[in-house]
Amino acid sequence: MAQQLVREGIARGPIDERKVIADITDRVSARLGGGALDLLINDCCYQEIKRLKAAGTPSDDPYYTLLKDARRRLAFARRDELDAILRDIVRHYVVEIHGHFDPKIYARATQLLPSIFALLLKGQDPAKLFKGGVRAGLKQGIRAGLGAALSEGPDLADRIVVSGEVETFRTLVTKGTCVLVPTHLSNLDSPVVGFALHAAGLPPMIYGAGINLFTNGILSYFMDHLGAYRVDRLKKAVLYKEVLKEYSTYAIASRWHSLFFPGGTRSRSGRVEAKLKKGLMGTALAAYQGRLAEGAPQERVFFIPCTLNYHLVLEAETLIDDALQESGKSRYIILDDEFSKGSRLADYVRNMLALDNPIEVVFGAPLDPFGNPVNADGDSVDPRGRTFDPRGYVMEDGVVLKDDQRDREYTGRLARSIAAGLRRDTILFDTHVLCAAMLRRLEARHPDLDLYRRLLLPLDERRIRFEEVDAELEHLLAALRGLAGRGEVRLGSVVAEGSAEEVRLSGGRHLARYHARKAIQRDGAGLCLGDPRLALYYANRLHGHELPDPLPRGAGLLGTPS
Amino acid sequence: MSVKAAIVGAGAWGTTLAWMFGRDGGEVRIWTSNVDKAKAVNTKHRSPAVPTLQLPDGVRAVTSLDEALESRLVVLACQPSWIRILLRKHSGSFRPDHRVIHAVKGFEARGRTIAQVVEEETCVLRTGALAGPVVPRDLWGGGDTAAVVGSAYQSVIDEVTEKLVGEHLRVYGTRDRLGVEIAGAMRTPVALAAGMLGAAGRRPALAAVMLTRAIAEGARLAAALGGDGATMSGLSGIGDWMVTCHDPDDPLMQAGRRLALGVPLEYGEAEARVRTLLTLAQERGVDMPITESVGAVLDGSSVREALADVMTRESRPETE
Repeated sequence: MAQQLVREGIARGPIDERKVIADITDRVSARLGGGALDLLINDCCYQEIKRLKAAGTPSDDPYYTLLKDARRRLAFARRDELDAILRDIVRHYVVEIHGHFDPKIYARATQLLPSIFALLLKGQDPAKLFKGGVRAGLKQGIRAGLGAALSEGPDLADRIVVSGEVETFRTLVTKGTCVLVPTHLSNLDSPVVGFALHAAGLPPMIYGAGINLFTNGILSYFMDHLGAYRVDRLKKAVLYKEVLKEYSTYAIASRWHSLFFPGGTRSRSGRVEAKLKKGLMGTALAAYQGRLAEGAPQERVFFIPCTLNYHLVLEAETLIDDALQESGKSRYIILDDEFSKGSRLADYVRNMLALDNPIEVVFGAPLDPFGNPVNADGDSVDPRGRTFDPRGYVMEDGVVLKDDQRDREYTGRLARSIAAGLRRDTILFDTHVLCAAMLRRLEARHPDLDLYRRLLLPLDERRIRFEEVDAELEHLLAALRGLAGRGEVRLGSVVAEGSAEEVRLSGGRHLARYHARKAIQRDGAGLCLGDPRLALYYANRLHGHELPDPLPRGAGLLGTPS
Repeated sequence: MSVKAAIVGAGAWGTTLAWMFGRDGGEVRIWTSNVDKAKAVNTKHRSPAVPTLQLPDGVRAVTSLDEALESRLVVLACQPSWIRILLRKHSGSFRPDHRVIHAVKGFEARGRTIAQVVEEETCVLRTGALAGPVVPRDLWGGGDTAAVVGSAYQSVIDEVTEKLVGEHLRVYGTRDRLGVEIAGAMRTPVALAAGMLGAAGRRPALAAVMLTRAIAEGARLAAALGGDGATMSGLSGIGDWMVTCHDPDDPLMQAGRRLALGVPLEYGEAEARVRTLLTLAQERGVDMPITESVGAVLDGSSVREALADVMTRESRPETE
């Protein structure tokens, strides 16, 4: 059954694009039509016209024209005219969000997914191959192009390890609609997840991707044909957000397996997501209730927390700089990071291929839309391990009871359960642990300084002898292995089994591979924090775990090398 | 007709709650494992726990918890130390459509609130806590008072309010369930301290200081545990503590008086509640001088010594 779903792709049946657009437009209009429509539309027009003006949008741009026309009609519009204006704007948004999803291209692309992904990570543009394919006869051309492109270098499939609750996940995609909620560190995450799903024999999923990513030729091709829908984070109007939520609700209610990055954007600090965005998450509960109300009592929705674990992160330098600057919020959408630079992407991929296990994808324990664990049969499980039917959370006497405040509480609980799962299933590698140990030595030496002042210490203060590094590593490894033994975190193989010296050597080797700035570098008889900010980015992966204080300064340790 | 509420616990407080929920009509089930007590309720409409109270016709005692749990609204009114055992034994009988509130003042020994215990042992998510300056014998005699329902779910607050509110009882709501539970737990050390001060002949000014500073103490604990300190200034906090401290017949006040005179505490549950608070305070690094003083007296210090320790503490801003 799962294999059949992989072949079929996202939808269990053919997708009628016109119907999707019409249905969602109807739903949003019906839902919002009862309120103060003029205020809602006016807010949307005001915010968007202001934004478009500032961006220098041409006056004949169709969207710009639509909004100006709407605002002009708004002042004297009767109720039926307000409804018509609303429908025009909503329809525009739905068309934009839905994109050009084509099930035929999608099915073909799904078969070629591993090869496309390999090309992507090798810095080649699959679109060029497809153009060549048109000239040479599509199938033959593509295959020839892919064969040539993939014949060089190591096989990416061996470099991405998928683990966790894979079997359960395979069962659940046949029993209901799955919503995958991964950690988010890099723009490479979407293709990595896509590849991991394919490699695990799981169906692909639709996901919201920032509209800015569609400007990247390679990624745009990949996303446009593999289920990505477009999210424009620059659009702040309530109306746009409502359309987006309705789209997601519709997708889940239509049983399209979906993917959200629950942190909303890439983790700037390197920390595992703890505070999650609940807007899109709540659409699963709305979809679940909608289906129950339509008389589908066996409807089930499952959340699958997922962690993407890298030794090194492509955009780490830009992200941590952003996190440490006040401008972090204004740069919510970073357009000029390492991902946008072809040579950096190629460097990253080349170095990643040379690592032993560069990317590990962990599918975590599934949850129901209320945050309860789910067993392999798809049944919700109570804290004592008993299965139960969760419909009672929203139904009484066979009727779904609408209660937005209750649903927000349920979604908050779900978010906490997902966050706990993400922390538990994050793998700590030698790069993370070595950086954490080095920063903990600075903390031990300068307990009176706050984190930000420690990051500004001069180079001489950032040199640490091997003995001191190893002692701190031993201290830290003991605590981390204790946590791992209790199932509170996962450890990479070197961290789980290696000596302090092995972790130091392995972590140092990995950190030296790719970044232009060196988080940690060898310095005579010790190590030096070359770029403490970058080290902080990797050390932050340990954040949120209960760890002991650093070893005190001088507790059997040598000080700064002379 | 659906069951209006199920009360778990048929002591004096549980019986009073059954009477409160049932006095405006509707079926209320009260669960007890004691067959004789159930028989008395069902035949004479009186409980041996409160023989003077005539129960409404709709109040029915059951000895099967499953039968009680046919009600969607469940009110726990038994000792904190029993609740986890009870819920664990019957966790399979709870359903997602249940709303479980409790009227228990105190934490479980391991520092979990009663609502947290419900969430840890059953599939129930919609929980709440009922508290406030409610003195059962005043209510039986037609006295007027008010209570507060704390729940993250507005629908739970609305349901309990609708079923409980009456001519003599006003019901308020708050989303800060945890704050209500912390305020309820603080009642024990506050009442014991008030009893001790009374027995030691201290003037009312000191009782006022103690009550006022208990608000700050409870607020610090609430902040540390994720609740809202402002709830200590409400009915479940200062409202409940004031009525306790002005009630010479309150068992905790009396226990405090006896403690001050060197008579060991007979009420083991009260000592456990104080010690649980102290453990929580230590774990979370919360400064709780009133509770610590009560703990010191429980450990053998005199009231004079304990009071001297509090009075000679370093001065601090009032708002901390």
